[in-house]
Amino acid sequence: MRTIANPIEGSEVRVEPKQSPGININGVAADLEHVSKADVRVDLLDDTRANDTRPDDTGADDTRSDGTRADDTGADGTRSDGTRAFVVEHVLGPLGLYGITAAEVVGIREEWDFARPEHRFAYATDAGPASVVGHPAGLPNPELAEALGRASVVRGESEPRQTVSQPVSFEAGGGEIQLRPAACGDGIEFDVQYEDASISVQVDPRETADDSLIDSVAQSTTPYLSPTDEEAVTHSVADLVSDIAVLGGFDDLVVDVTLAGAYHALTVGAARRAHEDGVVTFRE
Amino acid sequence: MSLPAPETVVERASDASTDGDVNVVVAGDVDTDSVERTDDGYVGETAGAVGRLAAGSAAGGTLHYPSPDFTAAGPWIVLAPLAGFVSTVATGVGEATVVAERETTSQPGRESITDQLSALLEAAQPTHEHYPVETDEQGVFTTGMTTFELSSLVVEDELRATFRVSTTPATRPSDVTDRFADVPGVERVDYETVVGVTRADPSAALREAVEAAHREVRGDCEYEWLPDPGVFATIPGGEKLALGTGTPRAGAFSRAQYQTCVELLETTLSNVDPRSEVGSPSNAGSDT
Repeated sequence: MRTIANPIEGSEVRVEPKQSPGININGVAADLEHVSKADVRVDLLDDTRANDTRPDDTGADDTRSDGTRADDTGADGTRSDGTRAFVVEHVLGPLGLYGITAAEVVGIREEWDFARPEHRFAYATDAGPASVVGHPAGLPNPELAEALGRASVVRGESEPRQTVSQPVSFEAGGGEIQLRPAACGDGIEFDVQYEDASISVQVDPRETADDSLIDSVAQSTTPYLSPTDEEAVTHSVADLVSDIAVLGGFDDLVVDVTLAGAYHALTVGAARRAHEDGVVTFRE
Repeated sequence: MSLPAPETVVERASDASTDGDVNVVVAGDVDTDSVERTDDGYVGETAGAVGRLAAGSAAGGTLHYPSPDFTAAGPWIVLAPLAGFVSTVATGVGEATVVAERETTSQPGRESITDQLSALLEAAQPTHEHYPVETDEQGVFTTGMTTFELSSLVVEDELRATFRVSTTPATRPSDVTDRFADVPGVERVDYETVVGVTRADPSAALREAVEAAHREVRGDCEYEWLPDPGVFATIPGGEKLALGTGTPRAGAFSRAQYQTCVELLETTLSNVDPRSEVGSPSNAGSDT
C-alpha cells in the first residue's frame, strides 16, 4: 500500500493520506462496483449516501429566477441521487502513475462552469461543483501530478498483486482490447492504438512511473479536445491506468488495445469482463 | 411498433385519456402539415414535437393537448428533445438591445458600418478558454453558456440590434451589457429578463421513478438542461421533470427515437406509485 505523507492539492481536488488500501473520491470507493457511467467519461456513484458536495455559499448561482433558492433537499427531505463523482479518470490516472494505492480525494471546486456538461448535471441534481473532479481543460490534472511529484510517499504492508489467469478479450464501441497475463512484478505493458497514432508504455501501478512519461501524459488533452492523434493517444495512458489499474485493480498485465470513440466502455468493460469470467488471480 | 400518420397524431392526442395519475405535456410547436412519415420515422420542421406527441398518446398518462390545464393535480412530465437525458433545469431568455451611433466612412480614422456590424456580431459570439464553442452545433458546451442570437437589426440614423439571449444561473445583466462595450460607437445596451432560469425541485419519489425508467431503458440516467424554457417553465410548482428523445431543431425524428420515447414514458408512468408521495400537495416542491 502506498499513500502520501501529507495532504496535497491539484486542480479541482485535494488529496489526503489514507491508512487503509483503496482510493475514495468524495467518499465513494474508486472500484468497478461504484462505476455508474463509463463511456466518454467515468463517474462513480454511491446511491446509499446523500450528496454532500453541494456549495456552502448562498451566492446567486443557486438563486432561482424569482429570487428564491432551491432547498437543500428534495421536497420530502431526501435525495434520490446519491453521491456522484464526475470524470474521475483525470484524478485516478495521475494517482496510478505515481503508484498511489490509498488516498482520500475530495473535490474542492467552488465555482460553476456551466459550459461543462458535468456541471449542468450536478446543478440539475442539486449537487455542487465539487462533485466534478475532472480537469476543466480535459487534462489528466497536471497540477495534481506536479504536487504528487513533490509529495513524500508512505509505504504500508504489501498486498497480493492482481493479474488474469488467461487472456480476456472484449469489444465495445468500435474498439477492441485484450488483457493477457504477465509475470508477478512486471507491471502493466500498454500497447495502444488510437486512430493513426500508437504508444507503448510500461507502468507498475505500485511504483512511480517515469517522470517524462508522467509529464507528457499530464499535459495531453482528452481526445475530444485534442488537436492531434498523437496527443490523444498519450492522454489515453492516463485513462487506461485509471480504468485498468486503479478501478480494475490490476498490477501485472499485457494490454493490447485499439481505442475508438467513447472508449471507457471498452476499458472499464474489459476489467469487468475479467472479473465476470472468474479469471482474476492474485499472487504474493 | 408502428408510427401513426402525422395527421392522426393531433386527433389521438386530443382524444387521449385524462384519467392518469401523471400529467404529460409536449414542449414545442406541433405542425403536422410540415411533417411527413417515412419508413424511418418523421421528417419536417416539427418532426420531433410530432413524434413526441405521438409517443405521449401511445404511452398513457393524462396527455394535455393542445392546451395544458395547469390546475390539474399531480406531477408533470414534459416530453422534450433531450436525447434520452432527464432535465430539471431550463435555461432562461433575455433580450438585449444594443444602440450605437452609426459609423460612416466619411470620417477619417473611423470604421465603416461594415466594420461596426462585424464587431457587433463578433462580440455576440460565444468564447471559452478551453472548449471549441464556436463550432458547437450540438450544444455540448453552449447549452450552459450565455449566448446571443440576433433577432433584429435596424440601421438608420443609429444602429439598433436586438439579441435573444439564452441565460444560465450564472448570467448577470452586467455581463450582457459589458459584452458589447468595445463595439465602436456603442451608446448603450438595454437588457431585460424575459423568462428566468427554471430549476424544478421534484420529490425524491418522482425523481426515482424517472431515473429508474432511464436506467432500465437506456442503462443509465443522465441529466441535461432544456435549451428553451417553453412549457416546462410555465408549469406551476416544482413537481415536474422533462425527458424525451430527439434533438432540438433536428428536422427528423426516427422510429427508434419514437420507440425509446414511448418506453421511457411508459416505464416512468408504471414506476409512479399512486400511493407514493409523488405529486401530493405536501411534497409538490417549490417552483422557480
